[in-house]
Amino acid sequence: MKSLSRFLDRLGDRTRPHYGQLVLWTVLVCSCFLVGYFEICWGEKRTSDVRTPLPTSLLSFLPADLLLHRGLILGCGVLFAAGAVLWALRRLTPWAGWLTAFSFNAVVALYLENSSQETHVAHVAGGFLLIYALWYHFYRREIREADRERRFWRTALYPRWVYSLSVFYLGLFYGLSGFNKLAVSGLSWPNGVSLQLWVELFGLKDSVFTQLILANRTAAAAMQWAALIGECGGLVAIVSKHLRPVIGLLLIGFHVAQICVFGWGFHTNMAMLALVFLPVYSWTPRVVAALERNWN
Amino acid sequence: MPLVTTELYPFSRAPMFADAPRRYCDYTVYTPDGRRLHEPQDLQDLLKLGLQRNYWGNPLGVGVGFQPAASVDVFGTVATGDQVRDMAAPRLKQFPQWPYVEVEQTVIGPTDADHIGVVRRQRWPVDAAP
Repeated sequence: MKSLSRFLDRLGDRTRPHYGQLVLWTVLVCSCFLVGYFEICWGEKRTSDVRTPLPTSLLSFLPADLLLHRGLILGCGVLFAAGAVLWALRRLTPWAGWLTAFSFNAVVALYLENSSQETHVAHVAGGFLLIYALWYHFYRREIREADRERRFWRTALYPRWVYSLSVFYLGLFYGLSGFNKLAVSGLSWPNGVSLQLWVELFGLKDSVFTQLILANRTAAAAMQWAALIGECGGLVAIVSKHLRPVIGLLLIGFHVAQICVFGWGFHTNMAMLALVFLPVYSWTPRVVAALERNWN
Repeated sequence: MPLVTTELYPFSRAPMFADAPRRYCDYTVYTPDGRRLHEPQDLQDLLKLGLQRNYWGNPLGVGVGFQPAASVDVFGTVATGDQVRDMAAPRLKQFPQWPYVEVEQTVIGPTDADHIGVVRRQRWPVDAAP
């Protein structure tokens, strides 16, 4: 009970906002690329006119005419761009944050509503935008005051719960993915053959990873085991700060291989894993202090 | 709990590549006028014939607004000649210039302890359904 109490107490601890801003700017830049992709490719992956029976997103309650209207996703894209610029400049706090987070998630939802192929490249970005909008919302007065008095970078404004919530979200996302593989296919999932088939079908032929996987089933199975352990380890990373960097490195390696082999756009996930699972949170204040010492 | 067992954006259980296929099929159509239809360049024609590959690593028709177009191809399984004919024959009406086509099914799977490749190739004539 004591350690739980200590943990809850620490969630309110604050540090200067350098780390928070680093994560926020990274996710904003990544989100811009993702929105561009979804705007351009809207409707391209739809292969029939038969609607799916289950809701697709939290926007599925909207009438189909509106949900599938090109103007709506374009409008959300414009709102996202405006919100992202305002948020990066810390204007209209906290509404710029909410505008960005909601319009980004709306763009992704509207893309999926008009598609026959699901994609997961934007879920993490969408989740992080919501978490960081929460930060700006709960600390809006302090952030506005600090900005007004030109002491934003000198004020302890970044609460630990934002970091802890990010760890939880990322760990849960990957943990679910890993345990879903076990639930669907059992321990035979990392058999090597399946990865070879996916790589043969979708892989970039010139990639060294592609050639290695197709030439050696043991290597393919080892990569699948590493991916499975890394993904299931997401849940462990939530509670173990010592294992978190190891799991982070495994998952980053998994994404590097995935991007090299398939070329899929999981760059945002990789960036968030690096910023959240590697010890960037604890190193940032030290790096900032060292830089300040040098400049002064 | 429903939010972690279903696909409802922004919630997801991230089901990509959760399956463990041991083989897949590739379909090629040969037309009487000498054309060879194959993905990805002839995707639209294969879509009309129901011989396209819908698989993209995710469960089909989940987390998206539209079902994929009907296809004989179910990733990880091998369709029979009758199933291929039942799918393609009625759809051949959309191509009045072709009274028949030949459909080639290539099964790709493990060929030895280390490699995958073509394990079987079959070809069936398909006449346009009356």
